Amino acid sequence: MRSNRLDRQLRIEGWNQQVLENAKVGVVGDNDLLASLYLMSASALGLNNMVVLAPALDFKLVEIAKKLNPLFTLTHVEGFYTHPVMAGLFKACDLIVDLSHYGLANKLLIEKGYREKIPIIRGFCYEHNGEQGLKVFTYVRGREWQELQELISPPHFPNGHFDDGVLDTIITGITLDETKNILMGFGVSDKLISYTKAKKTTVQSRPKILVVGSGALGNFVGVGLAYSGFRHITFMDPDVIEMTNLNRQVLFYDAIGRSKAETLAERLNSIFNMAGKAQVSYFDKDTDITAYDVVFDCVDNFESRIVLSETCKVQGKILISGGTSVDAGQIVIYNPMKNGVTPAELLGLYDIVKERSPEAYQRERAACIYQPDPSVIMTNQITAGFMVDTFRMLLDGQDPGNIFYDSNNKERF
Amino acid sequence: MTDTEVKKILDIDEDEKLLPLVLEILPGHAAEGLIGIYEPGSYEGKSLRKLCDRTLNKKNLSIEEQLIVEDITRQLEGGKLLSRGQEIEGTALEYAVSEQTEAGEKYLYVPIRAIKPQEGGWDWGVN
Repeated sequence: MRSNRLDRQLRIEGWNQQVLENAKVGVVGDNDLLASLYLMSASALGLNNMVVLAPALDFKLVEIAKKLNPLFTLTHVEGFYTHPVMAGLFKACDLIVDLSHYGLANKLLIEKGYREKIPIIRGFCYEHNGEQGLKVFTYVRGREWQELQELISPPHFPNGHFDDGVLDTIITGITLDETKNILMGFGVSDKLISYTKAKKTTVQSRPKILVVGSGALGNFVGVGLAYSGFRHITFMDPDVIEMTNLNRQVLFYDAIGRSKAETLAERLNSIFNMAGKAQVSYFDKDTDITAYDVVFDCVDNFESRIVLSETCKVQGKILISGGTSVDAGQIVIYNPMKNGVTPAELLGLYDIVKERSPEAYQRERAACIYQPDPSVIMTNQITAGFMVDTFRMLLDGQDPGNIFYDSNNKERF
Repeated sequence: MTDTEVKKILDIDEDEKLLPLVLEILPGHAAEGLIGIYEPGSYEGKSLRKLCDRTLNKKNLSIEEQLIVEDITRQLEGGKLLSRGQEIEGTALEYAVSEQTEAGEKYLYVPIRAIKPQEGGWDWGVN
């Protein structure tokens, strides 16, 4: 069962699941979503031993973490990291993830990292001088660089702070990727990973949203839209949930065999009190999207992506298209108001599809003799987070650009 | 392209158009790419795509450059050349930003990335 659940990441060349399963990871958080989101994703990835110091955790996300991974064990100490004596909690941890927003913890943890040679992965979102964004930096001893100054939260003690579920989703994806890199002995970024945008205003509109594809991207797009306050979302997907989906499709923990679209809508309605709907069908050129203001492309193949591009162009709908691999992702926007090129046009998907044999494509999909692509949670949640943030920026009157994410690049995007 | 970048391009005045053009083609998100330098008078009327082709077809490459070209070729198998996430159409000047070296020498810079799109679930390279 374990190998089935993790099948899609076990296919990654050089992957060492055992070091993840045997690792002990410390987390320092606040009373916000960040630490809980990290726990949920870490559990899906197969990290089993977590020690968390935070005043509170989101019990729904922690429940999901426990249901996703039967071996997941969580030691949660309610409190703040405000004294060196707390360091004892993280004894024997392989690394510590600092997701807090108070400077005292940040400084104490860097000091602990320096003294005990423990890697510290720091991630947080912020709002300052009309800007919002996120920062992630991986500290290992020897990196006593000027960048460290940017990692210290201004308030010395725990205080109210800016939080955003969508930025948190991206942060947890990047910090989890760095966690994996450290544990597996891969290279980590030596750059301050940073994403900044103009502060968004409160948007009052209630757009009708169609999310096509309810897999990993669809899961995290749904969560991001829910955290952003959108309620009227329809999820479309013809497929049913398989065991191998569970290393990244976090909301499907106990729903093997059920419809992806129905389960996703149901779970989000339950957790976030949304009014989501499901449509169990393929998206094809005859699909009527007149009722929607925006379409999120979360599909897993270029053929469907082309149909989405063409349909949105013909019907004049905003399209936010996302695509992922094990270590990369892209977010491409089609905005009919700007009369730009569609994702299929920009990415040259027509040429790619033309070179493939359609007969072989149909036959292999139907017969299930294909070799599934390796897939992992991090790039999906990062890409999904940027997709939702892009949409929020569009609603806010900003002009977001296309984003190309690459986990092998030190600056990431 | 951000507002700042657009503004930078709009800010290019006539004098700056006489600057040399540095075209850099980067494989994926690599930090270093293949550089093509074009003197004033040699690039103004030419399409950016043509300049990219010329850069990629450079002869007498160093070993480092050969490795970069190999990476670019790999990306372009099912990938495309994009500049700041957008299709490259028109002339290089439409994409150029003015920069200067540490010694204060000004030049126009156009970054191009060879990007392979990510599909999401089905691997056609594995059988």
